[in-house]
Amino acid sequence: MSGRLVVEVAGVSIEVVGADTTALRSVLGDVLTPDDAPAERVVDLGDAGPSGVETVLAAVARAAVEPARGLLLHAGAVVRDGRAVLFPGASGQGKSTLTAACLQQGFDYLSDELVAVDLDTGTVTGWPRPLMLTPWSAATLGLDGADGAEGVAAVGAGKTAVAAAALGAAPVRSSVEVAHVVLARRDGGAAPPVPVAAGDVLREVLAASFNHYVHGARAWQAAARLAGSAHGWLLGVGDVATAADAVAALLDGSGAAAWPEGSGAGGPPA
Amino acid sequence: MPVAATSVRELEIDGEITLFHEPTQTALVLNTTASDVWRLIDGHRSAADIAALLASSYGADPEVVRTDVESALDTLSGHDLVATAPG
Repeated sequence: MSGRLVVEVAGVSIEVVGADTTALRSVLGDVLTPDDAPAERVVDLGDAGPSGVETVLAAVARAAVEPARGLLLHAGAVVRDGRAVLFPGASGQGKSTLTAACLQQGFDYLSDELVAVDLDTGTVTGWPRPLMLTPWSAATLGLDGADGAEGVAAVGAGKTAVAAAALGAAPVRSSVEVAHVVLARRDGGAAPPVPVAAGDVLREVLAASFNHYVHGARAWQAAARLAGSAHGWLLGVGDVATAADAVAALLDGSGAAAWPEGSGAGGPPA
Repeated sequence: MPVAATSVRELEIDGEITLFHEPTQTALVLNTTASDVWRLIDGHRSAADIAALLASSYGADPEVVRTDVESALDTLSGHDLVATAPG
């Protein structure tokens, strides 16, 4: 082992220097490439001392924006039976929590942060970084107090990094067809998913894109193809376990019809 | 007289139109009314003509529709997707 730290983001290899690579290596296992792999970009974190995992992840994601060959979306994503469900949106809408809850229910893992849409096929590949959970998320998922368990590490700023394997899931590195796009709303209580129009999905996808300006019309066409081919849903994630059940039902084909009678009365979380 | 810009690409998904303006690399997703307005822009119809056609089609109050049409045209022109030609 050379000590180099090379992280892959959306097909782009990025070497991280100026960080405590030994400490980071154990947390970033699912997104590392062999340390003798050539790097397309270098991120120098300077002499700031040991860098937090979140700092490194943000830096390498930024470094991938320009060279990435696909349309990068800020989105969580899970897979079952070769079909993906995307949760596009800004931070704070519950993407990571919903993604983690889905993994606990048997989904495989694409990302809690970023996917790349293939400009030609519309399929997505993920970035299976460790899930970065807030204290509220960790407690909601029954992971509070789990720091130190295999694949679970406190990484500063109150966050817990959780490997997919610690949630019983496998990272998926292949390209996957998108079956559903779920617009998660943290202020929504327990209610059945509501179908949304393709135009609304497209607005959300465009708003969640990092690098549409790099690919111009091809990115717009890919986003429109994705929005037009996947089913769009609005889903409250105030009760995250129930929301994960709803996501599973979407892929089972039962969708909102599987929702228990009278279960739409829940309010936002306290 | 509203005229569609020449450097605009158009796609329709589930009845709604999305536009891409090449020079500014800007994408816009139109709502139902704006999509209908876009379809009726032909360089010959005025905003009033378009509003009258849509009011008839929707069976709605012409004044309300006219306000919506003007709002849609403002949005489209604000993104350089529509210009105003003398007419």
